[in-house]
Amino acid sequence: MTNPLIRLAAWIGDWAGQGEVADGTEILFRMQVSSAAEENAVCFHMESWIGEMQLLHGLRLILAPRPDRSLHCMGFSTRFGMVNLTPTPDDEDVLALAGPTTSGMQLSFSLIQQDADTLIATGMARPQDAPPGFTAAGGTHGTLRRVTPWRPPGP
Amino acid sequence: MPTRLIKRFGDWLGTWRGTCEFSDGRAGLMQFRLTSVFNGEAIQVDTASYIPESGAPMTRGSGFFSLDRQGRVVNNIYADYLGFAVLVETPDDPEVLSLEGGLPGNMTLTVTMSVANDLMTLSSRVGEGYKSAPGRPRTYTQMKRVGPIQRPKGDAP
Repeated sequence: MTNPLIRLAAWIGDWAGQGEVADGTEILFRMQVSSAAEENAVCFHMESWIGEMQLLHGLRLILAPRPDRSLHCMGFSTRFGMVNLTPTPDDEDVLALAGPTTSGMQLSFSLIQQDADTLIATGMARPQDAPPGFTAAGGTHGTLRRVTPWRPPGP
Repeated sequence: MPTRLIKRFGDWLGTWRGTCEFSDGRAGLMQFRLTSVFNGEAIQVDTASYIPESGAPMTRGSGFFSLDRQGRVVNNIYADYLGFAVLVETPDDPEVLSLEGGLPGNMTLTVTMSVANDLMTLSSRVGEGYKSAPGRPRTYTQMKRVGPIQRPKGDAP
């Protein structure tokens, strides 16, 4: 894996947990982090579900270095269409991304590492033409824990 | 019920491999893998090219196709040798997907793709300015499908 992405290699795997959206609706989170583009990029596949696994929001992101080695992120959101996000400065154990969507929104997304097996995920969207001081009405946050696929017990 | 995107490109899903010629004259082996994500809301495209003699990787990239509100294809792409770009569909024949978008440094990328008789043809060109220069060399590949058609049955992990 290329150097700018090495710190994220520890997050590769499956994550799941619970969270809620701004109106208090409880959701289930699932996230898969995997290497992509022959270990030149990291892929984040995220889904939030309500009820009996009804997809509330799906987000799939590819984080990779530009030719100048700075990181950038592009992907697809089932709510906002194409997204292009740039990492914003933050602590070393935080991945914070922000940027525009093709549907005219400004998306912010962050993953905060609590410990080796726990991540806090937050997401927020607001219109790109929102006035200064605009408070986004929507938002999602939740806690993700590392999970391993179920395997049948051995003999 | 398949999405509009899958109705149009469902037959493109799967893995495609073939030889290619890059715009600088180098030869390569090219692989495209198109996968349905979020039940056909988008198609993920993963690409890789390899040196024919050794199999060593040359270029890699990923992208997503989806439709905008006008029904045009929007293509978010990353390629390790180009960086990031958003390409938008431009008018062409119905069976051809033509895309164009800006690259850093006042460059423009155009991509043309089509599938006929289980053969995917792709050409791309990078030019300077708002329109890619038609006279510039292009990367050209023809790829055959590997394995059966992968109809979308759900989301790929």
